[in-house]
Amino acid sequence: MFNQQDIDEYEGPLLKSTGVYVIYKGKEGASNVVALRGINLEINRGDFLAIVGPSGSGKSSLLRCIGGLQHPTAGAINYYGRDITQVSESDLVPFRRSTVGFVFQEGNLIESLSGFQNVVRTLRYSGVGYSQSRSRATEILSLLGLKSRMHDIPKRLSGGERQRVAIARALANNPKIILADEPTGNIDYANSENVMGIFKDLHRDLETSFLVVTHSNHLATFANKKLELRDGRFTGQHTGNFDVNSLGGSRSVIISESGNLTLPPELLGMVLEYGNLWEFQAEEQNNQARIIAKPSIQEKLPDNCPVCKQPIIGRTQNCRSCGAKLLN
Amino acid sequence: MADLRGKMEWLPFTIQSIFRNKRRSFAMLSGIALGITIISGIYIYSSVLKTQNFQTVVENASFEVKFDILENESLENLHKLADIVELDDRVIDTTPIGSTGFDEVEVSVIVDKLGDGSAVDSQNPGSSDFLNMAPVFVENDYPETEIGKKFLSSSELEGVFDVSDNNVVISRAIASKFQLEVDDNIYSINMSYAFRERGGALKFYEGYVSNVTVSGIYEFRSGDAGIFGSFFNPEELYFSFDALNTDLPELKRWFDEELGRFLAVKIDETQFTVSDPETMNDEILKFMNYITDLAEKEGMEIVGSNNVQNLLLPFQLLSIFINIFDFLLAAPVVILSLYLLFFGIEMSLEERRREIAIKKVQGANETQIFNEIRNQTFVLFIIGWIIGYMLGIFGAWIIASSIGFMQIDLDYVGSFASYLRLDKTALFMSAIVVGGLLTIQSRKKAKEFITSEVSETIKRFEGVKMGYLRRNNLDIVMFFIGLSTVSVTILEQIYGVDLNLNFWWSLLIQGFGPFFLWIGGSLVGIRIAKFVPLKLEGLLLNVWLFKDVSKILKSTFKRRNDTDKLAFIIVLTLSIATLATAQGVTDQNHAIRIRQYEIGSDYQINFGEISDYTQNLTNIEGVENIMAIGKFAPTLIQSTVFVISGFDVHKELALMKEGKEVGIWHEDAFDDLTPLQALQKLSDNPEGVFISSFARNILDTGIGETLKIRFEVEINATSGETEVRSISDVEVLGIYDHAPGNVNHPNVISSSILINRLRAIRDNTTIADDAPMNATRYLVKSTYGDAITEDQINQMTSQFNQIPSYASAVSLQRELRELDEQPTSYGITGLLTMNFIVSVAAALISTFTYSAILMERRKHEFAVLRAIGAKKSQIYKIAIGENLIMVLTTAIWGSLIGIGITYLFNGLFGTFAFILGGGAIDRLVTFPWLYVSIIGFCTSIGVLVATAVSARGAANQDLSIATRVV
Repeated sequence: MFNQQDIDEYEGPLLKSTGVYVIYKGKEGASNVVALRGINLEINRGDFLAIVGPSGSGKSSLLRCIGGLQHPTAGAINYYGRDITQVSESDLVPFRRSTVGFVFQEGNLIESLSGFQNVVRTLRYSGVGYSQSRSRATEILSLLGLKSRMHDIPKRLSGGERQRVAIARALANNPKIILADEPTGNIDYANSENVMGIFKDLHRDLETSFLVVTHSNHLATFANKKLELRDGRFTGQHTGNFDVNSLGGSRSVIISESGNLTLPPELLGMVLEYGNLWEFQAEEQNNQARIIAKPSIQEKLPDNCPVCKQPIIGRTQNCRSCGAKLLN
Repeated sequence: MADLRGKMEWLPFTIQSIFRNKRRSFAMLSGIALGITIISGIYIYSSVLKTQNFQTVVENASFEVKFDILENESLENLHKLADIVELDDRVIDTTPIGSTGFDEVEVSVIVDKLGDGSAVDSQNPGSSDFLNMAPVFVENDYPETEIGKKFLSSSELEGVFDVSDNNVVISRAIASKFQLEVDDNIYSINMSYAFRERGGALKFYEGYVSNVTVSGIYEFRSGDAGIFGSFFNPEELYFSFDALNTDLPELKRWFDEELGRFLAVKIDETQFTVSDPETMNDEILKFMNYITDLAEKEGMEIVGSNNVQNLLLPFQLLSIFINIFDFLLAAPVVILSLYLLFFGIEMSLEERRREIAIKKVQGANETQIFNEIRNQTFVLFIIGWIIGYMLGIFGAWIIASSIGFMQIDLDYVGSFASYLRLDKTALFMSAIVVGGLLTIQSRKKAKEFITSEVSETIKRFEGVKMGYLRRNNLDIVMFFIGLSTVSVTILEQIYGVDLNLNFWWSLLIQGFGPFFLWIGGSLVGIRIAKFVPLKLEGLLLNVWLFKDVSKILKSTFKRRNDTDKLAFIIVLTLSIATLATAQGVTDQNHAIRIRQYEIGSDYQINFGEISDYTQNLTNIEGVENIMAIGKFAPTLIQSTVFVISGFDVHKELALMKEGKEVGIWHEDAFDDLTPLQALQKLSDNPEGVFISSFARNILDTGIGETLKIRFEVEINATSGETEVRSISDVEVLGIYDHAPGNVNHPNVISSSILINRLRAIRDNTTIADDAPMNATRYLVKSTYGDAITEDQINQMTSQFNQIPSYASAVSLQRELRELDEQPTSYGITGLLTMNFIVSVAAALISTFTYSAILMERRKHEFAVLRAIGAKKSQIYKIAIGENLIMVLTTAIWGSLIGIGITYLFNGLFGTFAFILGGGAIDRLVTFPWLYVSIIGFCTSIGVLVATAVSARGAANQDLSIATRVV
């Protein structure tokens, strides 16, 4: 599927996903769960992208789809212009070997193999020779400071050491992009620093791209691009001072290529009170773009709710007493 | 070098993976080893049994090969041939013998003891005591030849084996029939023989040997063989060749023409492959061809006959039949072991589900993952093959050395070394079966696991996949089919209801019923294992021990689906353990019952001549009481020939009322009546008769109906004049199954008991009810009882021997003691012992493995419980409490299914009973309730211990690690 010449000659983005939907079928009559709602994402070579968002926002589903571990319900995920959602499982194997490296929150090491063997197996699966795979595993594990502990089985390693083995394994084949799902979620601060330092070095020295899903402020600050995911949609991009617990202060909303604008939840709650038809006006002021938005039709609200007959107080779409819809 | 290490890296990697994943390796290894053990064990046992039986047959044969000379088969030429044959070092000895094949020529012997016609006796081919007789002509030095010695050493001989000077050696049966003793002089032995010349008319010849002295009487012991081998053996009379030359010129001429004389050759068995019948047969054929070529060079055209080959066909048929029976008996554990194998494969793959997903993420393709699984399976298979084969040898030895259910003959212990050999067929057959199934199943399952999407496996939430049978409720259908077959069997066996099922229905019920009940019952057990704990949870939760974890237990009862397999395994295995125990005990009891029935009392004495031996017997020290059993045959009842048996019912009834009856009367001897009631009924109705169910069906009659009996009685012994007599309106008083002293052969020819009137009818006289009866068979009750010593048995037997016309005496206690010391025929109890051991082992292995895997899956859950304050003891309580009711329920259910299968298997025993020699009477199921309860209880404890041991790991785990694993 991916040969080196094609990769070298390709000039577009490393990864481009378009309209990715993931819908989980509800069990026994429960409604379906829409985990991702038309995700569009582009990652170029050398990008360090962090995705933040609350639990259940669809971060891990997105990572699995991008990593080719899961087929999205709809949409395309292109690497070097080739859609990995349209290829068979066997064609995904070379892609996983050469293009992506995974780092999971819990490490996901093979418990019966030592750290060294975990790395060696990855190389051997890729067809690297016996001696080369062993020397490469030693080299990369040494680089990550695991030389003295690399022959221990994962059970005997600390959380940070396990995670470093997982990183070593992900890096073993020199992937073009590392997909990391909460890579520092299970380790202490000092080890997080270590891991992030390694990521940064690799990013700098090898120009490896990173896509990191995280809850961590600290980790996210390393990224040169931070995207906020909520309810399966990108609701904003963050720059400057960044606090995952208070995203409103740093958020910029995103208008997608197809022209969609997803409002952050606090803004959405406010504007919806004025209906769902708005007029936009763009203007330039002091060399800066400005958008002025106002509700297109100011419908007159009735004095009393037509259903419960309670008086209507303030500007609202629904009756605050009974919830009846007040505007068409 | 690196290349080589690279190529061979799979081996250390595989071995390391096996050792580091002990649980799944153990699951698969035990499945493989058990499968190999069962299949190789049964094969080795069958092979050993076949070899041992064949060796016995060969060892008992007087000679293995005979050569006939096609032209001029004179005695001189036979000697010349002997000189040629004896040059071969594979030959031990040769001797010329003259004998007719009884299948081609009928030879009857008429003995005229006094020569005046007063004591002429002959055999009547139509009579029940017809003897198949054959004269054998040998030279005077026959007793000194290896062939003669072989024959003599394998027989008990009274007198001497001397055929010189018109002496004759006869069998005990002939002596009894013609009332002959050693040194008796016989005026003449007439021989008439008829044969059909090839393509020609039937010709008759007559001749006689006169003034013959009985020099010896031989008695075959069971399994011994004469000239004709052990199968279809006629009673032989040994004469001198001189008698043939001088007294039987016609027979001699016929012998010359039809190759009636031959050179018997005894080979050196040590130079042939006696352990393999087919190979030995081939080797003998090659030997014969070699001798034929040698003789041809000497100008002699000869043809050889292979006696071993003659023995081989019936022997092979018997072996095949026994093998089928053994296999049927072992079928449940074969199925069980294969289930364990499949279970092991699935558990092993289930456990590596996550690992497979991680490997895929690492970039491994399907082939690479499959190859790793294949390599591990292969290495485990090799280890399991070796372990399984060794255990198979042990299993075969256990079966062969079993002298009862779970009883080993200690004298046989030393024979284990002889089992330690490589049986290539057993080795490869078991490997092909187990390896084949392993390959197919592991390949199929591995592909399923490997091709499932990575995201499903990495974050898999275990759902329970319901099997095809359960999904379609076919388990209930199977169970009810099985249950109805049990009902039919119980109705017939316990309540004696005759449903008149034909052979095919019986075969269907006995052949498929057990499996329907077993599999269906085990699957239904899954439903029960879910339903009952929900109903009884209140009971458990109120037990003080579980009070502190009751809330958690209550919630887990409702959501548990993961114990389906555990419940299935418990029912599957425990039912077989119950079957093995019950049938093992039943088999032991049945063997005793058969001997009680066949012998009938403490002693059974048989005489050659019908007479009243009451006085002779009661005079003997140690005799307490006797009962004569008279037989009268053939007897016509409504155009069908029957044997009528009778005994002194008044006397026996009186003794029975005092608890001193002579016969051993089984409670099931009569349908719907106790023996006391039946004898009372017979005593009250002198014209009444009890008939067998076979006779009832043939005669199409029933209780209360009348019969007309017609028979022929000889009224003049000299002239042989007979008279037809009949009695009418004999009332059918009831149906009987069997009576002591081997009375009744329901599957061969039916007997009817006719009490009191027997002698009156035969003698045509009116005799008092309590008058002694003439008979050839007497049952003797001894004053020594069950504690009779061997010396006392010998002493009594020697006294019986003194009675004129004595033929044989059998002691019940001696037979029972021999029964205790000898391995049982065809290894039934041994196989049942193996069934028991394997099923209990399978129960414990599989529950341990499965519990361990379940606990591993729930490690995180338990870690969270511990993290929020649960004590270790509470973790144990949760693990055990969840399984307690389920285990007890399934243990009881498994035992109940086992009881059902036991009855159904009993029917199978009945079908095979004839060949196994136990078909004369019903095989009554004996339930050792205590044993069955103990087994159920111990298995339940074993499962709970396995759960607790597995929970130990979960309870003691490092919480910091366990709680963060998603």
